[in-house]
Amino acid sequence: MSGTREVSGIPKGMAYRRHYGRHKAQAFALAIAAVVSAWSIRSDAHKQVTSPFTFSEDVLPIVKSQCAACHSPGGVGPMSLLTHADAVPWAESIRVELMAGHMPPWGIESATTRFRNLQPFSAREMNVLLTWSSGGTPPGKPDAGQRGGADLTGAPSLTQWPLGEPELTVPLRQATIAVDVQTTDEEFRIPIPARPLRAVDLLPGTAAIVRRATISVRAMADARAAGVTPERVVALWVPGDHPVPLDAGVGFQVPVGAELVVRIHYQKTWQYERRAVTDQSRVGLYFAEPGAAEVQVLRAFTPDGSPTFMTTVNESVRALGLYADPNLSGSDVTVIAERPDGSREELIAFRPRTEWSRRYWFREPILLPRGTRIRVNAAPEGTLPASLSLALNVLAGQ
Amino acid sequence: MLLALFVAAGISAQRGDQVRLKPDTANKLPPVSMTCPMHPDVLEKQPGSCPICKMSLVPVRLDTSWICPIHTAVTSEKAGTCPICGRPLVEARVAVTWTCAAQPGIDRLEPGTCPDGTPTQQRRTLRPHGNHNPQHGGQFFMAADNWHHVEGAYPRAGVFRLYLYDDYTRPLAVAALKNVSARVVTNEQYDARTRTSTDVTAFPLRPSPDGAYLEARVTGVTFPATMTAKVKIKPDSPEYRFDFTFAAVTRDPAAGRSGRATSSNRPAVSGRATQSPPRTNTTATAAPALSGPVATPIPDTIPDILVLIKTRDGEIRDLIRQGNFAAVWVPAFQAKDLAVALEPRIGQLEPDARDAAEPALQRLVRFAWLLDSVGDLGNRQQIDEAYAGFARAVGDVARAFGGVK
Repeated sequence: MSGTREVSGIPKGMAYRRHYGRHKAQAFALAIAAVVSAWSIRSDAHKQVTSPFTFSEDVLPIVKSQCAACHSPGGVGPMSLLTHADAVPWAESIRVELMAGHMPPWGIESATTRFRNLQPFSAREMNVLLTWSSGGTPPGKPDAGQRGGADLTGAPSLTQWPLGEPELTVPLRQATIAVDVQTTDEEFRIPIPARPLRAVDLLPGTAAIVRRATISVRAMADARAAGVTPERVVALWVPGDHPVPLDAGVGFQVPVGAELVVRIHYQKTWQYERRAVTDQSRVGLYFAEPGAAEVQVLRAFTPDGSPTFMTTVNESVRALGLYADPNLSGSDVTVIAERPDGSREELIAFRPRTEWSRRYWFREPILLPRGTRIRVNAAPEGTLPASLSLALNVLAGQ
Repeated sequence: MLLALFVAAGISAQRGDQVRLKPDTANKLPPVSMTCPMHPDVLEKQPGSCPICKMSLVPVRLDTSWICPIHTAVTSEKAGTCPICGRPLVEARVAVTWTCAAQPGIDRLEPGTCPDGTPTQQRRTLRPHGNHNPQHGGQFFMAADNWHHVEGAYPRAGVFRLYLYDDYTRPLAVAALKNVSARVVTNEQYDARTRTSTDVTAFPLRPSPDGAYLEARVTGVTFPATMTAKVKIKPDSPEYRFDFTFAAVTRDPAAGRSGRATSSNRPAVSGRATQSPPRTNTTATAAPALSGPVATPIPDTIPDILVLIKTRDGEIRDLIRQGNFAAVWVPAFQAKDLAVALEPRIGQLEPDARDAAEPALQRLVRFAWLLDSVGDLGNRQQIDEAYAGFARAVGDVARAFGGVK
């Protein structure tokens, strides 16, 4: 897998598609000219600028709020989009990614308002970006102008903890991606105190190459032998996600002697090809109060690859969030709770992607009484792997 | 003559670097843009290099002209009819240069004086993708390579013709036509699981004796006739599919005046360049129009907006059924403008409906743009998939807002 192709996400032949949009823009210009009148407009219409939306006035505010966590100088995105000069060469790529539903990458079909860590991406924003990228990419007011010379006001910071300073910050050892390596996975183990956790976050040292991370709590070998859950995911980190702490009184349990296992997937974008790059990320721990209610995992799975599978809730729980296991990547997935009283609730409709694996935290805990069936429907793009699974984070009790 | 014009276009590009750019305010010349010799869609205001291939940009003055869709040498500054065939002129993108009658090799960006002292004459040269109009009364599509174009015609019962063009909508050279392998499929089986089609009834397309087109004898065809050309431009090219629908036999306007304009098969791809959007039964009362090429009135109330969205959806469905893919973009854009206008009214909904409305409106906009994008390519499968997403979004929007009186 070529890192460049993977990260950019641009389908093969993108460059060829580029002028298609321009052609369309030209058709708009023609249509305008024909509808309104002939010559008066012509000298202006030649620019093929048909977008009433300009970069500085309309596009930049959207880019800052929706894209800049990755697409900024030093960000993990393969290009910054924060100046007109930066964004224009990618206009056709922006079109393709938006139309395909690849960007923003959260794969969510449900309303974003139902989740704590999803940011709405509105019909208006979609339309502004597509109109601008299809319609001649007008600049509006001059901006910094130079590539990389971006105005970062209002864009997310790459160097600050979104949840504030952690109670415990653990620097990981330095990792180096060699000159001739494009992607690599590194595992880090950190002994941590046996205190329940409200949140665990990661702050990359070199944001441009830290592509994703899984952070788990792993019990000691003898505890595992005694039946303690061997490893439990506490954070699925992807750039641009909004970390969510658990509510007060709730926590991920950390058994005595457990360690934190951090697996980072590093990936170079094309700017870093043929260069050795190092990273020293930090992990931040936010503790819950002692005695916090334990977040548990309820897993629905199919051993036989059947695209519809379910699990039944044995004791009443409140669902806090969910995440798909990598085997569901690329499928259109809906998760429905069928309660014993006959009511049904769609918990989520989404399209998980391995490279954007993250947790979806429900806005409010969802009550799943004893006997509720959690039904998962996966409509795959190709053939499904043999086993599929999905995890719900739940709290016991009503 | 045509060839001479196109050769001149090349010269214009090469000579660009010799030309000094002047401010355009002094006269009414179309302003100078910078374009890439290899990527004509690249247009910048400033000199520089092509973002795709890094070649130095060259200056060009772009304008629109009225041309005859058949006799593209006929250009005019205003609408009218072709003096040769009488067909209405259509608009196309042209490059404007100045030349000399005695020395047609001269091709300048500025008007001036010829070596013999006479004033230079304006020359208007068709740009790539400047002409997406059918040349023979058929249906016109662009290949996914963004270079080749095809036109399918059904000139008489049992005869399917495929014309192939380059990026300037010039007929493909006979030598290039010999490399093309193509067939026309009148019946095929589609496997939804593997998303592949298998030919059931196919007829080979063979070059005509004069090399002007490929032709196949087809049998078992009734109107409206749907057939699919499957084309490999070169032996190592991917196979493109173009889905044609003919309501009746097509008439080639070049064959005589009788066929012009009244041909029922004239697809809206030319209509889009020449006319206002297809007539729609808009019943909305006075409302502010959006800015934009296909401005649609936005009614005041949610139910009235919903009615218009559903009407546009019906128009799209009909256009797709008729095989008129290239016209789909107009109602699709009108529908998405209506959807954007609905968005600020989400607050009037009950919480559950609000949750359903938010993603549905965004999907409606996204799939409208996708319909626009795949519309020109003529691949029914892509159009059907885009429309399925669009129609589902329209249904979800209608349900979410349906409770509002």
